Amino acid sequence: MAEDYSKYLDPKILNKVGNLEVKARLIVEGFMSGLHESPYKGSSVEFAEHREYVPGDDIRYLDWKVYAKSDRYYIKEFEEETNLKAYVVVDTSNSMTYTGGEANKTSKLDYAKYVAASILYLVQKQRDAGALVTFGDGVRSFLPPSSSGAHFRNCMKELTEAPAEGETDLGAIFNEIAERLRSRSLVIILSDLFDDNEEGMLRGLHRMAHRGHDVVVFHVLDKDELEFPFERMTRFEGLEIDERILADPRALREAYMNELSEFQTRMKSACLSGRMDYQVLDTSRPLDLALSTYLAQRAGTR
Amino acid sequence: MFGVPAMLFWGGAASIPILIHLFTRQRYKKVPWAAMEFLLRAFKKTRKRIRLEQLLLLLLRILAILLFVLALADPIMSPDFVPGLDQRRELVIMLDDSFSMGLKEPDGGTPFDRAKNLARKLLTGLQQERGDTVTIVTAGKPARLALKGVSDLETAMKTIEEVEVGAGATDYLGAFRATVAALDDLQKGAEVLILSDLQKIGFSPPSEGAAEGEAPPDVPQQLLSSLVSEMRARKAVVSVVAPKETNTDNLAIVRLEKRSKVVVTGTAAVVTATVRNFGTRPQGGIVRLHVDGGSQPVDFRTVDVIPAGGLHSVDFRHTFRTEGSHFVEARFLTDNLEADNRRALALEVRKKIKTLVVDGDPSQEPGEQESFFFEAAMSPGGDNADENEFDVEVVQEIVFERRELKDVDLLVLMDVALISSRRADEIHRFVEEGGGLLVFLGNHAEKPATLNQRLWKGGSGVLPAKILGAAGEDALAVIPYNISRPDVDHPALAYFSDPAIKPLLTVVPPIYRYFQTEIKADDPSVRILAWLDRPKATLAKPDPFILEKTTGKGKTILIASSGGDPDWNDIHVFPTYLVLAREFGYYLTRREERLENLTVGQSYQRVLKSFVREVILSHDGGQISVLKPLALEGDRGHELKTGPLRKSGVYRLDLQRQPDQELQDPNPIHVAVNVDPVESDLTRVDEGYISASFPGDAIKVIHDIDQAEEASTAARDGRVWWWALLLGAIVLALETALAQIFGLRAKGVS
Repeated sequence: MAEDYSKYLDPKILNKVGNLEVKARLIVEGFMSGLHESPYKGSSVEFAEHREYVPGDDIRYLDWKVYAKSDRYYIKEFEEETNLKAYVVVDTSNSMTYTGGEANKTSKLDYAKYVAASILYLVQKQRDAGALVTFGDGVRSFLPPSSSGAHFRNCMKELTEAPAEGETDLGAIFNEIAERLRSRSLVIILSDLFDDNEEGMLRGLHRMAHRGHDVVVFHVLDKDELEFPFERMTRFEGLEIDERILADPRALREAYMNELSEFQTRMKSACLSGRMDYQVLDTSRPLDLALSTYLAQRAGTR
Repeated sequence: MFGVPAMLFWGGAASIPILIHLFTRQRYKKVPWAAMEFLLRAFKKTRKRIRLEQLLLLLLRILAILLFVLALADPIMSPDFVPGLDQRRELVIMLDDSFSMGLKEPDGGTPFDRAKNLARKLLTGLQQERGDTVTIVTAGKPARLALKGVSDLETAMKTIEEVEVGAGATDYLGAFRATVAALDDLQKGAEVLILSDLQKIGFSPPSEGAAEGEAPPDVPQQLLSSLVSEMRARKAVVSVVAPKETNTDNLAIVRLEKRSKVVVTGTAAVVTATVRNFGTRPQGGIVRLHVDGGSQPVDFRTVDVIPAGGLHSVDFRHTFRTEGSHFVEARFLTDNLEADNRRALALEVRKKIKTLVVDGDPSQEPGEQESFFFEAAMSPGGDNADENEFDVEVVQEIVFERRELKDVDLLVLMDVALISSRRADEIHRFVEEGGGLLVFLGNHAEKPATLNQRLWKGGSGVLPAKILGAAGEDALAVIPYNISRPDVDHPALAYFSDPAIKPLLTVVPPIYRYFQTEIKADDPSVRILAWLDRPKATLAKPDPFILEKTTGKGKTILIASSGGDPDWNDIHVFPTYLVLAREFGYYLTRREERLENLTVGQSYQRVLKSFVREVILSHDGGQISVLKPLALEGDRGHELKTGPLRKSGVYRLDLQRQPDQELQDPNPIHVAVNVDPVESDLTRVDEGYISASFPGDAIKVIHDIDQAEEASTAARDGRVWWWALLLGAIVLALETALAQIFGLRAKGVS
C-alpha cells in the first residue's frame, strides 16, 4: 500500500522529517493525494513522453489509443513552456521565531519555510520559474527565477540556512522588491507583518500590485498570537522591540484580540483594494491551505 | 463583644489575598512576544480598568476572610441592634449555701452576703413584663431546686431572702444536675450564674467512700464537666463569679470519736477530738467539751500549734451518771468559719454490762475454778476499777437453771455440760433478741451429746459447730498447738491487727488440748475467726479454734478449748487472755451507735421497740416537726424516719409515751449531725483551673458584680455569628461572580 503522504501536511509530523527538500516533496505529495485533479497541467503542445496514470491525473490527458492497445492507462505528458515567474518572499526577522517557549513547536519561520519550499517545489514541478527572496532588517538574499533543478536546490539551501535576525521595515523591503521585479510575476509573501510602520508596509504592497504583479500575502501567525491563551501572570518581552509588559494575560486578552482583529481587517481590506490575496496561516494548522491558495492564484494567473 | 475573642487573631489571615497577589506577581512566566505592538496598545487601553477590577476582587476577598473570622469570634450584639431577637431573659441563679460561704471576712461580711447581694441586683435587672423568668438552685448539700422558671420577681426575691448559709458541703454535682433538669423546661439560651466561693473541693469532690487523705478521683470532676456540657448543649451560658481574694486559713474539728468501746454509767468515757489545720500557716487554740448541751464546758484542752495541713488530737474523759441517749460537743474558738468549729457526738450510755458467768467446774480452792481467770479479766481491780464496764456475776450450773436472763447482756458458759432443754430454749431466745453468748469448753464437754443436742441442734441452734471429740495431749508431754490465721479484720480480733501485737495471739499462748468441731456445710451465719496449727508437726487438716455464729440479733462465740484449765491451754497465763475476754465481751454486747451520728443532709432512721404515736423532732430548742412512727410487719417494731437533716448540731427526738407506758427505747434520743469536714478546706480554684477543668470556655469566670451583669446581658445579647457567616458567603459569592464576569470578558465572551 502506498504511503499516506497527507500526514506530512501536519507541521508537527513534518518537524520530524530531515531536510527541507524532502519536506517540500512530502508536503506536495501529501497535498496532491487529496486532490481530484492533478495540478500538473502543462499548456505546451509539444508532447514529451508517456507516463503511467496516477489517481488525480486529469483524464483529458489519458492516451486512449495506448489504452486500446495495451489495456493500460497512460498519460500524455507535454514539454511545458515556462510562462510563470513566482517569487516566494520569506520574512526571516526575529519576530518570526516565536514558538511560545514550547519545544518541538513549529515556529512561524519554520512554517513559512515549509510553505515556501513546498510552493517552490510545486513551481519547479510545473516547470514554472521559481524565485526566492528572504529578508530580515533588509533583503538578505534574492535568488532570481529559474525552473532548473539546480536552482531549486539552491533555493532550498538558502531557505535552510536563512538565519532569523533583525527588525523589519516591511515598507522599505516591499518597495525594494517591487523595484527589482522586472516582468509581471506572482509574488507570494510569507510574513507575520509585524511592523510599527503599518502605512509604509501597505504602501509597499500596493506598489507591487500597481506594477502588475499578482501578490499573495500569507499572514503567518502562531496559534498563541491568534488566540492569546495565556492564564498565569506573564511577562511579555518584545522579540523585535525592547518592551516588557508584566500583566495578568486574562485581563488583557479581550483588548489584544480586538487589536489583532482590527489589524487583520485593515490588512484584508487593504489587500482587497489592491487586488491582492490575503490569507492568514495558523502555524498549528496543516499546510494545504497555503498550497490551495497558491494553486488558485496560479490558475488565475494563467 | 465577642464570645471567642481569641479568634480575632485570625484576622491576620486577611493579608493572605494581598500576599498571594504579591506572590503571583513575583512568580510570573516569561514569554518572548512578537506581537508586542498590539499588546502594548491593549495594555495601555485596559490598564486602569484592570487595576480597578483587581483591586475590587482583592478587597472582596479580604472582606470575606474578615467576615469569616468575625463569625468564628462569635460576635455578640446588643439585642437592640438585632431585630427579631427574643429578648426574654431566663436567669438561673445557682446560689452556693454551703457552710464555707459563712466565712467571716475582715470587713464583717461573708461570701454568702456578697452572693445574695449579687442575686438581688440580678433580680432587680429583670423585667417581669418582658417575660423574664428566674430559676434558683442552692448548691449546698443536699442541692435543691428552690424555684423554677418563675416570672414573679417578688417570689424570686423572697426565695433569695429565705436562703441562709447551710451546714452542708458544696454539692455542685447535685446543683448541676438540678440545673440541667430545669433547663429542659426553659427556653434556649438561659443564663446560668454560679454565685460561690469557688472552693476547690467543690470542683473536685471526693467520690463516695474515698478515704480521707486519699487523692480524690477524677470521676466527679468529669461528671461536673459533662453536666456543664449538657447545660451548654441546652444553649445555656454558664458563668461563675470569682470571689474576692481572702484569707483561707481555717482550723476545723474534723473528728469526734469515743475511744471507749461501750459507754456505761459511772465509768469514765474517753472521747477524742481531732483538729485539722486547713490553712497555710501554723495555728493553735483551745478545744472545749460540752456535755448534753450544757452552756459551760466540762473540760477543755489546749491544742498546740498545728503545722499547716497537720492534725492534732486531744482526749477528754467524762463520766455519765444516767443511762440513755447523751451527747457531747467539742467546740473550738477563735476561728472565722463558725460551722466547723464544733462537732457533736451522740452516745448511748448504758448500765454496766451485766455479765453472767456459768462455771461448770467450780471449786472451793481459790484459783481452781474454771471461771477464775475470766472473772479476773473482766473485773480488774486497782486504779482502773472504776473504769470497768463489766458487772460480773459467777453462778454454778444449778443456780443458772433458775436465774432470770432478762437483765443479762453477756452470758458466758465455761465448761458447762448440763443444760435443760428449757434453759437451752431460753438461751436461744436470749441470743435471738440481741444477747451475747461466749462459750468455753472443758473436761465436761468430752461427752458433748447434751451440748450438741440442745445448743447446736443440728445446726439450727446457737452453737456455731457440732462438738466432736477432744484432740491433743496433756501439757508438758507434747509440742503445743498455736492459734493461727486469726481473722484480724473481725472487730473482736481487730486489736491483733497490728503486726507487732499479733504474735501475742498466734505465737505466745500454747494450746495443749482442744475440741474438734464440725460445721454445718454452707452455713452463712457461721464464721471461723481463728484456726489451730502445730509447728514442727503440721496438721493434716487444721481445725477451727474460734468460731462465731449469728442468731437473730445476737451472736455466739465458741472457743474450742478451756477458758481457765491449764491442762487444756495456758492462754490465761498471758495478757492475751485479758484482751480476748474483754474484746469478746465488748463485741458481743455492742450496740450500733453509728446511726445516731450523721453528716448534714442525711436522714435519721431507727426501729423503735415501743409503740408511740408521735415523736417530736427539735433542734437547738426549737421544734421542727412531729413524726409518726410506722408499724413494721411481723411485730418487728416501729420505724421512725426523718427527712434530710440540714442543720449541724444535735437533734432531739422526744417519744410521746402514754401515761404509765414503759418504754423499751431511750427517750429522748439525741442525733448528732455534723458538717462534712471536706468543706473546711477553703482552698480556692483560680481562673486557670476553671478553664482547664471546663475546656472551651465552658464556664466563664467574671470578677465582680458589674461584670456579672455584663455577662448576663451578654448572654441575652444577639449572637450574630451567623450573620457574619452569611455576609461572608455573600461577599465570597459576589467575588466569584465578578471574577467570572471579568474572566469571561477576558476570554472574549460577551
